[in-house]
Amino acid sequence: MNRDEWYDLARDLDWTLSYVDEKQAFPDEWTGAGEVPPSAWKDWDEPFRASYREYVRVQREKDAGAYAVKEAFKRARGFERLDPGHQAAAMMHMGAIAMVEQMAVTMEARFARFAPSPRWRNIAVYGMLDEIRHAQLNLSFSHDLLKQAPQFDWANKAFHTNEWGVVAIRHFLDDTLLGSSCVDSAVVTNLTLEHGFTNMQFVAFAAAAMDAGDVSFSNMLSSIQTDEARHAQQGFPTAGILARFDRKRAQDLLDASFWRSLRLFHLLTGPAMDYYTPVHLRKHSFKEFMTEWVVHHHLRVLEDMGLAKPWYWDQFMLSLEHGHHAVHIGTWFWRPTVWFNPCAGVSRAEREWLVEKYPGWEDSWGVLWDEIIRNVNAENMGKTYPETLPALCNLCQLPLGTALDRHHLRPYTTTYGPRLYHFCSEPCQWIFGLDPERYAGHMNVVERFLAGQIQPMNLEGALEWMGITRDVMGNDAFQYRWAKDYAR
Amino acid sequence: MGETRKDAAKGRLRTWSALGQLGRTPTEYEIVTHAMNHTTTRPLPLEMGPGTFANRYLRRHRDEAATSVSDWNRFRDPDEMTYRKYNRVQDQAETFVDRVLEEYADRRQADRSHAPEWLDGLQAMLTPQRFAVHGLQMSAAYLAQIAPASYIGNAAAFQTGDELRRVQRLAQRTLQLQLAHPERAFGNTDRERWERDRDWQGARRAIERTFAVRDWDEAFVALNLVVKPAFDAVFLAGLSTLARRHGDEVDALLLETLLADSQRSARWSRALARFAIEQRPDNRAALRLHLAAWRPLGDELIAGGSALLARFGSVRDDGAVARGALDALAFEAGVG
Amino acid sequence: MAGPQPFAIYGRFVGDFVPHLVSALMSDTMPELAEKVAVHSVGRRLPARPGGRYQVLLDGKVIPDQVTLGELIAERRLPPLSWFDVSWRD
Repeated sequence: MNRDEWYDLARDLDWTLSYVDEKQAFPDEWTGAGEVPPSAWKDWDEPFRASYREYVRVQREKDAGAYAVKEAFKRARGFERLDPGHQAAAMMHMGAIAMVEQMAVTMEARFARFAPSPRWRNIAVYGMLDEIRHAQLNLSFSHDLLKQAPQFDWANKAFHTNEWGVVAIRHFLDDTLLGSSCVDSAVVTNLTLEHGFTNMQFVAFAAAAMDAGDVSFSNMLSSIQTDEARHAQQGFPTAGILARFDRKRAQDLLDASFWRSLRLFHLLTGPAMDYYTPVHLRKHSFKEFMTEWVVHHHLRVLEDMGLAKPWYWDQFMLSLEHGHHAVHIGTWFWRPTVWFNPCAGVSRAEREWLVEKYPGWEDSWGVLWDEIIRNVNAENMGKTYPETLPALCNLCQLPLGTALDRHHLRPYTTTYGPRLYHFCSEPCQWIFGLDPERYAGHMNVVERFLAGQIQPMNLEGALEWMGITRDVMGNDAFQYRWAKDYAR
Repeated sequence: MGETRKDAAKGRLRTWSALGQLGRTPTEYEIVTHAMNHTTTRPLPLEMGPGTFANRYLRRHRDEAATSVSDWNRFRDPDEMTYRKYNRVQDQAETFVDRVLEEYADRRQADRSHAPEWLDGLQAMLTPQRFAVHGLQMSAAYLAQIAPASYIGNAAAFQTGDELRRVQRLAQRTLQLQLAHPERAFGNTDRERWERDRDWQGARRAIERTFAVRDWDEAFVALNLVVKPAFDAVFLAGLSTLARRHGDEVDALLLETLLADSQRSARWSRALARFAIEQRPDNRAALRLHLAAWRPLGDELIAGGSALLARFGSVRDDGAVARGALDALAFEAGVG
Repeated sequence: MAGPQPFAIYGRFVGDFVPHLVSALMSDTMPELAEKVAVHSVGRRLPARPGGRYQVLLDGKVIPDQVTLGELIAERRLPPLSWFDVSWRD
């Protein structure tokens, strides 16, 4: 039996409701059809097709492979021998991502219930199952490493904490994955985040992990990526239909999600690629990889849908040059507040690489690092730690100044109601302005601190509030040995 | 132990800190399922403003539902279903179905030998199920997204997968019957029957009403303790028996095999209800309230469904059997 | 009202990459405020200047030394977390 012959019989299953109101069955807050007429959804179609029967067989085989590699690596106890920079990247990834996979289960379940097309509802069931797979693979992998590294507890724990990086991720993804309509979620997540982000965070990271000798992690990431290609398909037909009937909404959504995704990449992928990955294993810089895999892809997608480049394109290009360097130095400086050991990544050899890839690096960042290095070599360690919180963006939750560099640092503020809101950039400010009611009620970490939610109001209190325990509290991955490069 | 004293001294964890008080080694199921819903353990579920739609929705329809316990993460699905286990189990089950379809429908061309009355029956009762089951699939997905713990949400997600499985197998049967009897245009009248046939309206009404449910506990009772078991009792168990009476081994075996998925749903649903009541006896009243509201719809579904079966030669009191199944489930769940 | 009442501001030392949360006092003069801002950047990520003095800028304009934060807040109706710049005076 040819699957194509019965496929439509399994998915063209809409009917006219009689015993429940259409709006009750498909409330717009969850469906998100908006201005798109119901008839438009009949054209929703996805290129990927799978039968349930094939799915369970193929996935069973895939898992047999992925778990076998994991078991072999576990027996070899190889993780502890890996480069500390790679270890940090793995710990950061697990803490940041494992729970997101589970959140995506909920999002796909949302599609399976509320999407305006039965074809879409069906494909979402595979997506839902895929994301369970990813969450459980990540957890299984991390759990194996607990005895060697307590930081992997954060694969399960991170999102239950108020750690600042987690708050930033949650601000974006609780909204997108758990608090948005099907249409919005599909465009932001499947189309923008998954297609762009996973190419870097998963594919590139898999390659880097393999090079670093972390066969198990690499294999797991690659295996996960084979599923992404399938369920990320949901974004294209959805965005296409949206672009036809509500162009402004499609454009705004894509522009907002692209910028927010970039900020997520600044937090996670950029530092991992340009600072944590051992320098001799770096095949591309973050900027190169973004340009080749994400930028070109996203521009093609926009073009296919008859949409324009984001209005902030020039700022985006500049941010590509700087943002992750900013987040990196900030993460390193505030290292006690993260659950892994950040790798400074500024030894002489690494610095040469950075300068080659980012010609302005010395003036934007080298100057700052030089002062840190002086303090390390003078054993003035107190000066290499912070004594207060950084100013934070009310949209992306990352520190002000981390979208660009120190020369471009300036305020972006909006007064809405009784409150003053700060933003790291014009795009973040613009996103807030698109739907102020969506964002205005939220308090960032600084505001919570000022409201007395962190007690006592000092570093100890902040660490406890963030769930950072002594056994995971971050310190330099190489115990500052790299600073010797600069010692007189 | 989550940590032995020695481990604790060295800062080593033997399992997730969240599972630390277990008192034994965690199972693989627990390792990959425990506390994976980060929105249920805080007063504000989402990292969004308190007044936003989604935060208000989750608080109202999930966190403030009448059925509540101190920690839903103590619930365990008796099948301990993980993704790995699910695919193993279902791959095996699907292999069996493949063989049935190949053997009977393809090789033996069994569809060609059915009496016209039975072909009428298949057109009326088997192929239109695609719509009904799509509805069950949708409501299972709702339960998956609104569940107050990953232990519950995951079970509902696998149930959603089961329904997709069923729809696809029904679609395949529809195609096979089309090919065997092109003049009957199997499948073409399904939507009309689902929307118009008097005996289908009980099922349609019950399933459509589940689309209006918002509170997680009502969603659970409505779907898993009433509508789905009622539907499966008639259209899987009852229809399977009737198919065999008509010499239709393909459909008898297919529907029987799909019953295993249905029974799995009943297992964790019973366990969940019992768990809720053990943890907080007042939950029994909350669950029974929902049951009382939904049972009449279940009975109407059964009435219509058994009338359908009777139209096509059933000599069983299908209604009584199905109602009995609902009663038994409710009793075993502690809400009967 | 210029007593020892705390008032939170965002203070950016010009040349550093990030502004900081600074708990200042209403009674702080500009040099006192500048010190509270500078301590998070100067000597940490920017070199100190022996004998160097600071100045405070609000919306790009230098504020005279003797003005207190409380006076500034009252005059300009500044909300908490207003952005202040501190730079070397040269």
